[in-house]
Amino acid sequence: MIESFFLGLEHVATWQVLLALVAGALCGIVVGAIPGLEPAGAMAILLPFTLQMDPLPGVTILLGAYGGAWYGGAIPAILIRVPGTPVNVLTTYDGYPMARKGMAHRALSIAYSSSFVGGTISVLALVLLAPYLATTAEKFGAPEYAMISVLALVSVLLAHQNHVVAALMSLGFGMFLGSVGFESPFNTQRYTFDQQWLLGGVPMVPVVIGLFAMSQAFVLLQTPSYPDLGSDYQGANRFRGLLEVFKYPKTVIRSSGLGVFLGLLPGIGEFGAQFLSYSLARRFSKKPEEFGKGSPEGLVASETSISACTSTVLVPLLSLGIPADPLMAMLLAVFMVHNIVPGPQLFSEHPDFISGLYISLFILNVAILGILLFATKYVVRLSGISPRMIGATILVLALIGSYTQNYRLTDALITVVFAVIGRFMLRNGIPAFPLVIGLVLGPMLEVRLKQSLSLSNGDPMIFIERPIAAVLLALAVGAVAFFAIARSRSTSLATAEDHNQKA
Amino acid sequence: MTRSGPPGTENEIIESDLDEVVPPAAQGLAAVIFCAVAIVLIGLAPFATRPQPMDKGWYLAPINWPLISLALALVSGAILSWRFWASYRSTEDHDAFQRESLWAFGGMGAAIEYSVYFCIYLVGVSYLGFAIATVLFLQFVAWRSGLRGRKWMLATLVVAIGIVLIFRLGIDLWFPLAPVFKFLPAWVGNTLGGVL
Repeated sequence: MIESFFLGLEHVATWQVLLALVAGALCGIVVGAIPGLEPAGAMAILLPFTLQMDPLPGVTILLGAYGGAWYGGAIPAILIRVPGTPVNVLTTYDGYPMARKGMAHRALSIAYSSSFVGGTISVLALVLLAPYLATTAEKFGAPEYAMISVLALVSVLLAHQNHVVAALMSLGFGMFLGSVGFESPFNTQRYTFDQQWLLGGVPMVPVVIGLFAMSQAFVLLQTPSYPDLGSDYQGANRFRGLLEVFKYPKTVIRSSGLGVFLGLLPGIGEFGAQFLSYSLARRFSKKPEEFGKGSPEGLVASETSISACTSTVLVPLLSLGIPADPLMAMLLAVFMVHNIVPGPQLFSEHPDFISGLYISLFILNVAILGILLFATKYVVRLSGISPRMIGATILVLALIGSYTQNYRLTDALITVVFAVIGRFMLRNGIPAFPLVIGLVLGPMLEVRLKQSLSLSNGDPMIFIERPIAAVLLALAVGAVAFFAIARSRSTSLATAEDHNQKA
Repeated sequence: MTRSGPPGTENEIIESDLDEVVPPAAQGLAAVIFCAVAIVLIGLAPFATRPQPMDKGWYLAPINWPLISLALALVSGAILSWRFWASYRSTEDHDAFQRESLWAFGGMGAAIEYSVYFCIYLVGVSYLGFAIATVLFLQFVAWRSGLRGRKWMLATLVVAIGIVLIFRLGIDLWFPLAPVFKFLPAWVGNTLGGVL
């Protein structure tokens, strides 16, 4: 254990990793602070460059961009009521009213420190949970992995509460895209139409860049400037409020716990955690009437829960090899390029890498907090850049990001196609997130299902006869049933209310 | 950004437009389009994949997975399409319904327009090289989006130069030698082509 720690420390204590830490953190903060920039798009653009680095700096830079964005997203949420990233919605509820009351610096400090506490607890949870789950996963075979994939897909779908049907449609198309290309068992091609560039399948990076970065660029190119961020921000007293988070220990513990737990569930993560923790914090607060009007406790609840997810989303990826969201799918790509296969063996084969990853995640949180405390006023200035300028720049970066991986301009064409599709989906409330999950998890599920059915000569009872697979299947079915019952109850309640009102 | 109800009432996640609130009719029309795409792809399945090979298990057939995936997309798309059709039939003001449905294509004109510019940019990169094409593309897109005047021209030029410096000189991003550099004397063309 101690030996692994020192090996990991040796890995981290190199200028490449430390530079990657700072660069990733800075990149994430800037992406988060500029409304309209998606961390997924930024990570997709960074991904091809990280593939050329050593695994630890590569993963660190992506994780920095990922974690930093949630921290940085609080800046515009508090100063101008525009969430920097989609998950910072609830930060606006209390952060903005605080800023209007002249407490912008205090609100920012509370948001930073809450994120720091949540992020640190999240890393601790990762350190404790990932090896435990990996040990359990050693007993898993193809049927268990197939059922985990099913559970992950169900979880992603149900997370889109009011848009489950649209999410299922998106997922179906994603799974179909994952099936395009060369099919190895029979050496056949599927939906390639003799196009050689499709033999390797639909590449994930151009799809993600198209859906999340370029489609957003189209929106930004038509967006007028945001209000000036600098007008309400006073650079002084930046440490005020930093310790205020500890005035609400119960809220911190509850929100962190929810963030850690929900971060483990694919698709639910930050969104589910923040809404649940905010509503619980309001319910158990001594001053619930202040929520939504500038309550520091509300700010603590939302920011802590968001950051508490950031490391635990790594648990399914590291211990099972299952990416819980598109961002984790990109990390998986970095792992695979460097021949690091996530799963139970990872902990025994690469303990130095795992240990280095843990240490770099701890340092990352400290680095982000440090950068934000001393550089918020500069980040605030960056946020004033015209959205149209950002949109134009994203288009060029989209070309670079999609081209770099294979040095093929056809990949850039794939990006354009998915950008238009993404824009259409965005416009019509059809979530793009399940499409990417389907693209990544679909082929894994197909392979595992084929392996399982080959084991049983085509008898699907194998998924019920093996206890762990049966439990996972039951969980998936139970989640769907629970969701269906809850939906039908809420629908009948709404109908009854409608009747009452009419009467 | 995120379309959500009051805190605590729901925890939906959905990437959304900056314009917010999607009319159900628009989503229905979008689903009809996706449904049609799924039907076409299912129709192509016998030609684009192979059915079950002889003497092999049914579960190994290459056609299975695309069909299962597309069936999922089709069924869910059909549910949304059915709702769309039902609300069309139940509504009295068909014109208003039609307007609401066509909202689905809002913003698509601009998206397609910028996509065309982007494709021209790709052609430009092939013929003029990354740096020249990027400078021209950024200038044009900024102008087209409404950022006009000397200040913005200069700003986009600085951004373009920054991108070229970072990616071509800093990271050494490789692009094939553009034909435009072949008109120059070999040593000049090769040197400039490697940098620009």
